[in-house]
Amino acid sequence: ELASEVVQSVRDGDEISLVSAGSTVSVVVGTTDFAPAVAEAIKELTPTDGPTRMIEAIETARRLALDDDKRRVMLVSDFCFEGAAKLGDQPDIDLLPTTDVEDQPANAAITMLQVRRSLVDPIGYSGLVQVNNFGSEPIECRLTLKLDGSLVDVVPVALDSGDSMRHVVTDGSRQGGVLTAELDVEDALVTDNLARAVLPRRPPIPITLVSDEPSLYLESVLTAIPLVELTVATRVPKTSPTGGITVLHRIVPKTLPSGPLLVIDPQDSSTLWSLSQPVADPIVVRQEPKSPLLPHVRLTNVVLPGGRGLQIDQDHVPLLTAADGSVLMASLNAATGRTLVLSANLNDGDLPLRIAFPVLMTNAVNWFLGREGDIQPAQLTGERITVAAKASENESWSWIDHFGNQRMATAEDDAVTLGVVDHTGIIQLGPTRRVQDYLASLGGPKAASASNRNAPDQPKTPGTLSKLKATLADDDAPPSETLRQVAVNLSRAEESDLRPQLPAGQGRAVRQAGWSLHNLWFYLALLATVLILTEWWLYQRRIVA
Amino acid sequence: MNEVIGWQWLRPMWLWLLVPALPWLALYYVRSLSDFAAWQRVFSLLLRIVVVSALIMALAGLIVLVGTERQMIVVAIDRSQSIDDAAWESAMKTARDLRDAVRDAEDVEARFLLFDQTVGQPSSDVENLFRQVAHQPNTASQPDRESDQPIGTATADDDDDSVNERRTNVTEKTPQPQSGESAYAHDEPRQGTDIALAIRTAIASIPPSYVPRVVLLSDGNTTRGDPIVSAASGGVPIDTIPLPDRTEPEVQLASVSAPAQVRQGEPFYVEVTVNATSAGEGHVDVYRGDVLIGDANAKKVKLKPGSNQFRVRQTVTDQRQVTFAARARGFGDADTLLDNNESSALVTAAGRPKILLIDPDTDQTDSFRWALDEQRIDVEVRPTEGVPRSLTELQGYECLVLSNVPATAMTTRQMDIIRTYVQDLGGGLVMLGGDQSFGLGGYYRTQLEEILPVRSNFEKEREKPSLAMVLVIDKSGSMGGEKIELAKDAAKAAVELLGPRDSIGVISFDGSSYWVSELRSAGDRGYISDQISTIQASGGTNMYPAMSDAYEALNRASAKLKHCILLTDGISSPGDFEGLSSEMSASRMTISTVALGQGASEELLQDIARLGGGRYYFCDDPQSVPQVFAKETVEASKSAINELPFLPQLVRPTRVLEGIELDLAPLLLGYVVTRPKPTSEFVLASEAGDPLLVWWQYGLGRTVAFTSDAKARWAAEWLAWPDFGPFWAQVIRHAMRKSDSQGIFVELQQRDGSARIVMDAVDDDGLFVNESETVATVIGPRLKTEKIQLQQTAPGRYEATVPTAQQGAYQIDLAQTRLGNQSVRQTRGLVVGYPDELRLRPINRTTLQQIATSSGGRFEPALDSVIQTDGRTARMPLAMWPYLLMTAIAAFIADVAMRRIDLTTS
Repeated sequence: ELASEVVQSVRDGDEISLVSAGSTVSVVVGTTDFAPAVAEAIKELTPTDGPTRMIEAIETARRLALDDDKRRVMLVSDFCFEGAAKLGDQPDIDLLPTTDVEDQPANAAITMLQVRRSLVDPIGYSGLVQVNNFGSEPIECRLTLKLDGSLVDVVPVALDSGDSMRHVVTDGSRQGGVLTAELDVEDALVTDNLARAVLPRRPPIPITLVSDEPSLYLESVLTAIPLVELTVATRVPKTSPTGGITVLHRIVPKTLPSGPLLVIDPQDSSTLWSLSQPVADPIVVRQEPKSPLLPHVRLTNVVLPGGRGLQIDQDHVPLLTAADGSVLMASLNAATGRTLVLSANLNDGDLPLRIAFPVLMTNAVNWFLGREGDIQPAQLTGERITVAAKASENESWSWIDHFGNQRMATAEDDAVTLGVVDHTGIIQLGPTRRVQDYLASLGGPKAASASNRNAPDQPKTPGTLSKLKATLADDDAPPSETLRQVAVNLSRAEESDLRPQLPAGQGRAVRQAGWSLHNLWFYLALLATVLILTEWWLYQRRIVA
Repeated sequence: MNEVIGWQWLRPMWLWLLVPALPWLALYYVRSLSDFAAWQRVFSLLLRIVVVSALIMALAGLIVLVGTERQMIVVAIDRSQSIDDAAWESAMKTARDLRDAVRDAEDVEARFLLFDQTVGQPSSDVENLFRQVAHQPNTASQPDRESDQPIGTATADDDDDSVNERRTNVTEKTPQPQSGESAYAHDEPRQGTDIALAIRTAIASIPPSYVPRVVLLSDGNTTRGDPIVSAASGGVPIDTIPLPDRTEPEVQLASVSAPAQVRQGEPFYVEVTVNATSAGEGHVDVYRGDVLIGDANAKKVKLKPGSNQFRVRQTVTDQRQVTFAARARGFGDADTLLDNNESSALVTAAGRPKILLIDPDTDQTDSFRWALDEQRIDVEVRPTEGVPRSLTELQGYECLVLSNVPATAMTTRQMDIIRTYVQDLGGGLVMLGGDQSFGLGGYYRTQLEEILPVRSNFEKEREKPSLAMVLVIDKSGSMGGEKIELAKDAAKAAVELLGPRDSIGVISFDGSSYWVSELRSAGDRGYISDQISTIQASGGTNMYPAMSDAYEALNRASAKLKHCILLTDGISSPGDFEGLSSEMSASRMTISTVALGQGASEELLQDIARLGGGRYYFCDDPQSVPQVFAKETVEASKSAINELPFLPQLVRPTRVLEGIELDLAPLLLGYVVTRPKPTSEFVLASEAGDPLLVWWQYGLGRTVAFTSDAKARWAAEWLAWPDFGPFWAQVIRHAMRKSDSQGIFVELQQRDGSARIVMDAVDDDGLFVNESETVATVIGPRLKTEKIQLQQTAPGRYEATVPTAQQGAYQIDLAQTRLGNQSVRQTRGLVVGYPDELRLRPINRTTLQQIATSSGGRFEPALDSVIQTDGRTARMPLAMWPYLLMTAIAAFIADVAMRRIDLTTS
C-alpha cells in the first residue's frame, strides 16, 4: 500500500522504476512514466524468505536514474537491517517505514542448524542448533528435533530478551535423512521457527576377511562394527573391495592386495615387513599416544602371545612396542594403500576378550577409510548456493524448487552452483535427466520448464503442479533415491531480528516531489471545462447575446 | 500488429466531474431561452456534451493499451581482456550487422552495451562505443581517473533519430548517463568478466513497453557471478553468440601445483602447467624461494599447443615454509600477454623447529649452532645481509635471533616485517648483545625496540665520561620534504639519548652555516628540540663553514669525549676538509659522516670519517637516518657497554630455566646496558643490576633480550659450560612460535577476490570442538594486518571470508582458544596470482548454451532470426489526452457554428 501511494504521488512527466530487494535485487519495471504499470507490478510482488539486500537495491536504483539532482529513491521497508539508520542521511533517499519504528515485535528464531557425521563413530552424527530471542520479552518454549520424522530430542528453551542458546545433539543413524528443528512458539515470523539439515547416509563398508582357519573372535568383532558387511574368504583377492578393507589373518600372500590392508598375526615376511624371531616376553610397554588408531585403547602391560618383532624399512608409525624394543604393531602408508600390521596370536592370549580389541578394530576401520565428518551443509536463502558434486563432462544439472519448477544449475569443477534460492525447505538436485524422470514420476511434466521463465516462482499449470508442489513442500514426502537433497533455511540473525533499526522520528509519509502534480495542459483543460460550462449557461439564459 | 487490448485511467477521480457537468448542460438546455429549431438545439447539446466529456476524459488521463510486437534488442558485447583483437573485430562486425538489420526492420530497436567486470550504459550508437574503446589502453594499466568514462557509456549527442521517431507521447527512456559522469568506478579495466551483471543490466535497460530480447556476444568465460542463474531468473530470452577462439599467440603459466603440507625430508613433486595457443620455444624457470632450480643456462623448452606440464622433484629439509614460483620467459612473439607468465605455490613442511640466526661473524656461531642442534633445534646462520626481506621467507622459521646486528643494516620494511612476524604471527625474536646491538646498534625508537622487552636509553652513570656532540645537518633545498623532517627527528632522538652531563649543539647549513642551537647541556632537551623544529630546507650546499663552526665549538667544550656527526645529501662547495678533519682528530674529536642518497659526495664523506676517526654511513633511504644518529650517539657516549666480568644474578626464578644450574654459570665478560620495560619479565641481571635476560609477550609472539652474547667475545667461558646448550635451547623454545596444530584441519578456497577459510576442529578423542573462540590474523602482501573472528557454522566447523584483492602472498594465522584456555594454532600461506581474466581458456560454449537454454533464447542464431518477432507482445500505453483535446476543440467550433447560424432560416 505504501508503495502504491508512492506511485500515486508521481507527477505527470516523472519517471519511475520498481526495484525489488529480496533474495536477489531485480528491476521489476524499468524506467517508465506510465505509473500504472508499476502499480500493477507492485500488486504482483511476492515476498521471499531471503535477506534484505537494500544496499544493492539502492545502487541498482541509482544506476537507473543517474541524475543526482532529480533522483529520489523511495525505500519501502520494515528497516530491520543493519545500517538502516544511516540511509536517512543520504540526500536522495526517502525512508518509508511499513511499520511503526517503535514497534518491538516478539520473535524467536532458529539461527543455525547444521548436522554432520562423526569422525569416530561410523553411524554417529552431531547436530548444532542455535536459537535466538529477538523480542523484548523473555520466552519459554520447546525445541523439537526430528530425523526423518522420528523424534531425536526435545529441548526446553528459556531465553531472556536478546539472549541466545546453542544445543549440540549427538545420536546415531545409518540411513541419515532430514533433521528438522522446530520451535513451538507463536511469534511474528513463522519461517525462522523451522530449520532443516540433511544428514548424509553412511554407505556400507565391505570387509573381506581372509583366513586359513576360522576365527570366531575376529569375525564377531568385525561384524559388530556398524555398517560393516563381512565376507569370509580363503583366497586372497587382488584388490580390496571398493570402499572397503581386506583383512589377512595368519595369511601372507606373495603379492599383497592393493587397497587398505589389515594384517593380523602374519606368519611370514612380505615386501612391506619382515618378521624376527618370536619375542621372548611380548608385553606391551609402550603405545603411541597420538595415533588415531589408539584412542580409548589401553594395551600397556598386556601380553600379546606369539608376537614377533616387525621390521619395516619404509616410513611407519610403531604403535605397540615390547620391552625389548620389538615393534608388535605398526601402521604405514604403503604404495598399495594404508596398511596396519598386528603381530599377536588371537587364539592364545586374552586380547580378543578385552574391551580394547573391538575399539581398536573400530578405530582401524575409521583410519582406513579416512572419515572426514561428512557434511552436506544446510544453505541460506538469498545466498549463492554451491554444492560439492561430481558432474560428468557436458552433463547439465538441474534442481527442483518448492513450486515444482525445474531450474538450471551450473556444473563446474566438482561443484554445482544453484544460484540464489528464495524459499526455505528441502530442494532436490541432480543431473537434468534424472530430475526430469523424477518429476515425471510425480506427475509433473516430463520436460518441465526451462521455459517457465516468466513466472519462475509459480507453478506453470496450477492443476498439474499444485499436487507436485504439495508433494515437494512436504517434509515427509519420500525423497528421490537418485537426487541429492539440499536444505535451505533462513537462519540469519539479522533477518529474524524484526526490531526496526531506525531511530524514532526517522521515516516520513509519502510526498510528491514538487508543488505541481500535473502539466500545464491539464490546468488549461480544466479551465476550459469550467469556461465551457459557464458559457453554456450564459448562452442558454441569453445573458450574452 | 498493434491492437488495442484495453484502457486505463490515470486519474479516474476526475470522471466524477461528469456527474455535475452533464446535468448542468441538460438543465440549461431545458431552460434555454434560445429560439433556434429544436433539432438544432439538440444537436448543439450533443456537441457540448462531446466537448465536456472529451475534456473530462483528458483530465481523467485516459490511456489506451496497445498490444505491440515492437522489440528492443540489447546487445551485450564482451570487451574483457580475454577477448583478443580478432575476436573483437568479429564482435564489432556482428554488432554492425545487427544494427544494419535493425535499421532495415520495422518495430525493432537496438541498444548496445559493453562490459568487462563492470558494465557500461546502453547506447544506440554503436560506432560511438567502438570509438571509445579504440581510445582505451589495451593493457591492464590503471585508468585515467580524470576522464574515466566507462566503456560503453553513451554520450549526450546520441543522435539515432529512428529511436525518437517511434516514441509515443508516453515516453519510456533507457537511462542515459550525464555528460562527464560515470555510473561506476572502473579501476582495473578489462581485468575481469561479469556476464551475470551484463545480463542484469541489459534486461533492466529495456522499458516495459517493448518486447525484450538480449543478445550476448562473449567468449563465455566469466570471472565472477553466475550468468546462468541471472539468465534463468531474468525472464528475457537471451541469444548467445560465441566470439571466435583466441588467435593471438599466447603462453600462460597456468599453475604451480605442490602439496600444501609435507613432512620434512619427504619427496614431492612441484608441477608446473604452461598453456600455449601455438607451438613455441622459451624458458620455464622454477624458483625455490629466490633461488633458481636447475641450470641458469638451461636449454629452451618446446611448448606444444595446449597444456604442457613439467615436474620437478623436491624435498624440504631445513625450512618451515617454502615458496615455489615458476616463470615463463623468452617466448617472443608466441606470447602476447606478459601479465600471466608467473605463478607460485606455498609448501609448508612439518618437522623439527627451525630458527634463523643473523650474525655478522658467521664463523663464530658454531658453538651456538651445535648446542642447539644437540637439543633438536635446527639453526640456519646468515650474515647481516640475510635479514629476511619478506614475511613469507621469515615464516619459514619459528624464531629469529639477531646477534650483534645493527639497526642500520635493516630497512624500515624489514623491521616492519619482523614486528608483524612477532606480533601477528606468533614468531619469536631474540636479540643478543654486542657492540652493534640494542642502543649501540641504533635501535632507539625503532619498530624493534618497540617489540623488545628492554629500552635502549638509560640513565648514564656518573662515572662515565661526558660527551660534547655537534650535529651538522644539511638544510639545502634538496633536503626538502621527508628528508629534512626525518633528519630533524633523528636529531631530536639523539638529544634524548644523551645524559644531563653531556652537551649537544646543532648546526644547519646551506650556502652558509647557522647555529640552530648552540652547544649546551643535553638536559635542556625541550629547548633544543624546539630549536631543531625550526630548521627549514632551502639554499645551496657549503659544508666547510659549518664543520669549522663545529670544530670551534667543540674545541671550547670541556667534555672528555667530543664527537661530530655530519649529514648531507649533496656535493659541498670546496673547502679544506682533509685539513680540518685531521685537525679535529688531533684535538681528540671524532667525526662520523652520513651520505643521504645517491647524490651525496660519498668519497669526500668517507675521507672525512676516516681522517676524523669516526664511521661513514650511506643511507639510500631517508627513513634509516634516525637509526644512524641513534647508533652514533650511543656509540660516541661510550656508556652503553659494560665490559667488566660478572656473574649472572637470578632476579626472578622461572620454569623456563628449570634444570639449569645458574649458580654454576661461569663469568660473562660484558654486556650492553639497557633498561627493562615495566611489564617485562626480568629474569637475569648483571651484578650492577642491569638487565641480562629479559622477555615478554608481544602480541601473539614473544621477544627475548639477552644483553651479553653467545660467542667468544663476552661468553667465552659460557661456551664450555655444560648447561650452555640446554640454557639456550630452553630460552629459544620459550621464545619460538608455539605451533600446536593438533586437531585442526584448514581448507582455503579462493574465489572472486576473496578467500574462504574453513577450519574443522576436533579434540584428542576425535570429537568436534564447539563454541571455541577462533581468530584469524590475515597479513596481506603489503603487511596490512586484519583480525577476523571465525564464526561457527556447523559442529566443529568455523568459517570466515577474507578479501584477497591484492596479488602476492597472504599469511593466515589461525588461533583457537579451547576450554581451559588451551590454545591451538596453525599458520597457512596463500598466494594470489594474476587475475582469472588473464587465464587462457577456450571459448566456453557450454556456458553460452546454458545461458541461452535457461532463458529461452537461442545459441548461435542467424542474425536475421534475432530481429524476427516471436509472438510475444508487450503493452504499449498510449496517452489519449492530445486526441481528446483536439476532439473537444473541433466539437466546440461546430457547437459555436450551431448556435450562431440559424440553419432553419437558411
